[in-house]
Amino acid sequence: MRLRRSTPPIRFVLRATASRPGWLGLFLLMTTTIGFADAPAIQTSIDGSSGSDDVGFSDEASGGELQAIAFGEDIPSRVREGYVSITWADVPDAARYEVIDRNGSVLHSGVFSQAFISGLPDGIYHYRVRALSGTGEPIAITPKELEVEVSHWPYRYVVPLLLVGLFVMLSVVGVIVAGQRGIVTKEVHP
Amino acid sequence: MIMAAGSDGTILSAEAGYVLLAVFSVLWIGLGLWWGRKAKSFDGFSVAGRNVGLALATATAVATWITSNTTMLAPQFALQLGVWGALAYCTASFGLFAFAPMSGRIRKLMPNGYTAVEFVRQRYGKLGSVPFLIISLFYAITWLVSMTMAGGKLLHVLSGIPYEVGMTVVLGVCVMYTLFGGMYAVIGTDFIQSLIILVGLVVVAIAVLTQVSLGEVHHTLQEERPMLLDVFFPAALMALFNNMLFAFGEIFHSNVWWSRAFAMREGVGPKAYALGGLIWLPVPVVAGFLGLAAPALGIGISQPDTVGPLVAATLLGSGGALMVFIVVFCSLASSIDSLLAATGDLIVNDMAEPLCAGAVSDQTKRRWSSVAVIGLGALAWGLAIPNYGTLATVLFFAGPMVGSCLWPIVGGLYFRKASPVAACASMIIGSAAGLIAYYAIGWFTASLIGAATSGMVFVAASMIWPDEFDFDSLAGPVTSSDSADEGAVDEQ
Amino acid sequence: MIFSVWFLKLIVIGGIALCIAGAVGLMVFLISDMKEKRIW
Repeated sequence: MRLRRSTPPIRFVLRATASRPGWLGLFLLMTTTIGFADAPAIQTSIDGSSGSDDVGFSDEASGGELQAIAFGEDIPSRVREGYVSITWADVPDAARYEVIDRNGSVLHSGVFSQAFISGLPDGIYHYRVRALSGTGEPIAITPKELEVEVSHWPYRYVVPLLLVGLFVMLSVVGVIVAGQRGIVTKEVHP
Repeated sequence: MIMAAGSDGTILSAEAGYVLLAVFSVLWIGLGLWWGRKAKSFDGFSVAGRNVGLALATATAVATWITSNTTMLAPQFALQLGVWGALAYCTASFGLFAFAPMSGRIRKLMPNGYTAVEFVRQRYGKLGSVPFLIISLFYAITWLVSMTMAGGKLLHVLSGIPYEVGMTVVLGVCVMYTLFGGMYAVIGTDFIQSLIILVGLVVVAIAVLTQVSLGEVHHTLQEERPMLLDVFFPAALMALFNNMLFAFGEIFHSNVWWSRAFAMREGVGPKAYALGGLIWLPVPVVAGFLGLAAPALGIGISQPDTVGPLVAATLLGSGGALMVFIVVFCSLASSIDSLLAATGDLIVNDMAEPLCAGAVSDQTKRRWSSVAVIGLGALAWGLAIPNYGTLATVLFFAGPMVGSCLWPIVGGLYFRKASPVAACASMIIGSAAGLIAYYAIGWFTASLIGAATSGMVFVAASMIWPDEFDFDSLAGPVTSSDSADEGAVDEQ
Repeated sequence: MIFSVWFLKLIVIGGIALCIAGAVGLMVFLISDMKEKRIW
C-alpha cells in the first residue's frame, strides 16, 4: 500500500505574511507563548506531479480503450492528519468503483464515487480509480494517478496545544470547584 | 470484500424505510399530543412545570447529548483519528460532569428563570447579552441544521429515501410533537429514545463482535491503517482537549441545558447531570468501535460520517439496518426536539418579549412559542436543503464561538467581580482567535484556541474593570421560598 | 508505540457493559420515581 516511504524534503518555510500558517505563528505566539512561525506552507493543487504517471500500473489498468474518469477538483495534494477523501466523476454504467495503488492492490471498493482512506503514516501515496461493470469488467479508469503526500503535524505543534488544553481544562474545573466551595462556606458561615 | 446489497447500494428497501418513518412519526406525534395536555401555559411548555424527577432528568441529559454526532461523528472520529478519536469523543461527557454543580447553582439563583440568555442579560446587561445571543442562535441553528442534514443523509444511505424527503420528514415530525407537547414531550420522548439508543447500540456492537474479533480489528488496523492505533498520533492529540473544551462550551452556554436545569426539580439537577454523563461516557467508544471495525470487515467507506450505520447495516443485513435506522432516528429526534424547544424559548423570552413595550401575558408567550418552533423548523429546512459540507465541518465551525462563552458563564455564575466588559471582550476576541485557528490549522484546534484566548481576556478585563454584582437580583420579581440567598465567592 | 489489543478490548467490552448498566439504571430510576409519584 505504501509506495514510497522516503519522503521528499518538506519545505518548512519562514513566512510571516503570505501564508496563513505564518499568521497562525504570530497568533499562537500571543496565546501560548510558543511560536510556530516555521509552519509549513500547504499546497492545494492536485496531481501536480508529472513523470510518475502510469508507473507500475498494469496494461489492463492503464486500459487503452477504457473511458477516462476525472478525479474531483478539491482533493488536497498534501494532508497533515493522515486521511484523505478521494472523489471522482460518476461513470453512468458503473456497478462499483475500486481505488487501487501502483501495485494494483484494491484499497477501497464501493458503489459511490468517493473513497475515504485514513490512518496513513508519513509518505507519498499514488492512487487510481477504476469503474467496474456489473460483471466485474473494468469499463473506465483515471488516466493519471493521484499523488497524495502525508506529512503529520510536528510534535512542536502538538505538545504546546496539549499543555494549553490541559491548563484551560484544569482551570475551568478549578474555578467551578472553588466557586462551589465558596458557596458552601458562605452557607455554613454566612 | 463485503459490499452493500441492493441496486443502489442501500441495505434497507425504500418501502421499509418509509414504513419505519411512518411508525415512529405516529408514535412521537401521538406522545407529543398526549403530553401536550400538560403544556397549556408558557411555564409548562418551556420548562415542563419545573418539577421533573431523577429518571426523566437523567434520561433527557443522556438522550440530548446522544445526537446524530454520536452515532455518526464518533465512528467518523475513530476512522479519522483512531483510538484517540474515540477516547477524545468520550471526553464530551466531562461537560455534563462539570455542568452538574452549575445546574444546582442556576436553579437556586434563578428559581423563575427560563433561558441562558436571560441570565447573561441580567448578569452582564446588553454588552454581554447581545454577543451571547448571537453566538447562541448561531450555534443552535448550526446544530439544528447539521442534524437535519444528518437525518436526510442517513435515511438516504440506509434505505435510498431521497435526501430531501428524509430530511423533511425527520424535521417535520420533531416540529409537530414539540409544537404540541413542548418540554413535556421533549423530556418524555427523551426517556424512551435514550433506552432505545442504549439497547440498540449494545445489540449492534455485540452483533459486530460475533462477526469479527477485537484481535482481528487490531491486526488489520496495524497492517493497513497503523496511525489509527498510534499512541502519539499528532492530529488526534491536538484534537483531544479541543473536543473537551468544545463540549464544555456547548453545555455551559446552550439553552438546551439551561432549560433542563430550570425544568428539573430542586436538588435533582446535579445528580441527573452527573449520572447522565456517566451513562453517556461509553457511548462514543461503542459507536466508535464500528468505525474501527470497518477496515477489518473490508467495508469500503465512501463518506466517513456514515461509517457506523454502514458497518452495522452491511454486517447485520435487514435486521441491523432496521436497528440502526431506529437508533439514528431516535438520536436525531432527541436532539432536534430539544433544540427546537430551547431555541424557541430564546426567541420568545429574549428577543420578542424584550422588544414589546408592555407586559406580555403567559398565553401570548405560549402562542409565540408555537410560532417560533414552526419558524425555526422552516429556517432549518431552508438551510439544510443545499446539503452543504460534511457534518464535522458544519458543526465545528461553531466550536470557537461556544468555546469563548465558557468563561463568561462560569465566572458570571460564581464571581461578582466578573464584569460586562470582560464578558463581551472575551466572547468577541475568543471567537475571532478561534476562527483564525479554525482556518489556519484546522477544526481540531478552534475551540481550544477560542477558550484559551477568551479565558485570558476575561481574567484581564475583570481585573481592570471589575464589577460588584448582587446575585440576589437574579431571583427576579417573584421570589419563591427557595430563592437565592447565598453570596458569591469573593463576597467572603 | 501503538495501543495494545488488550486496551482495545478493555474500552470496547467495558463500554458495552457500561451501556447496559446505564439502561438498567434508567429503568430503576423510573420505577423508583413512579413509586414515589415524582416523575414530573
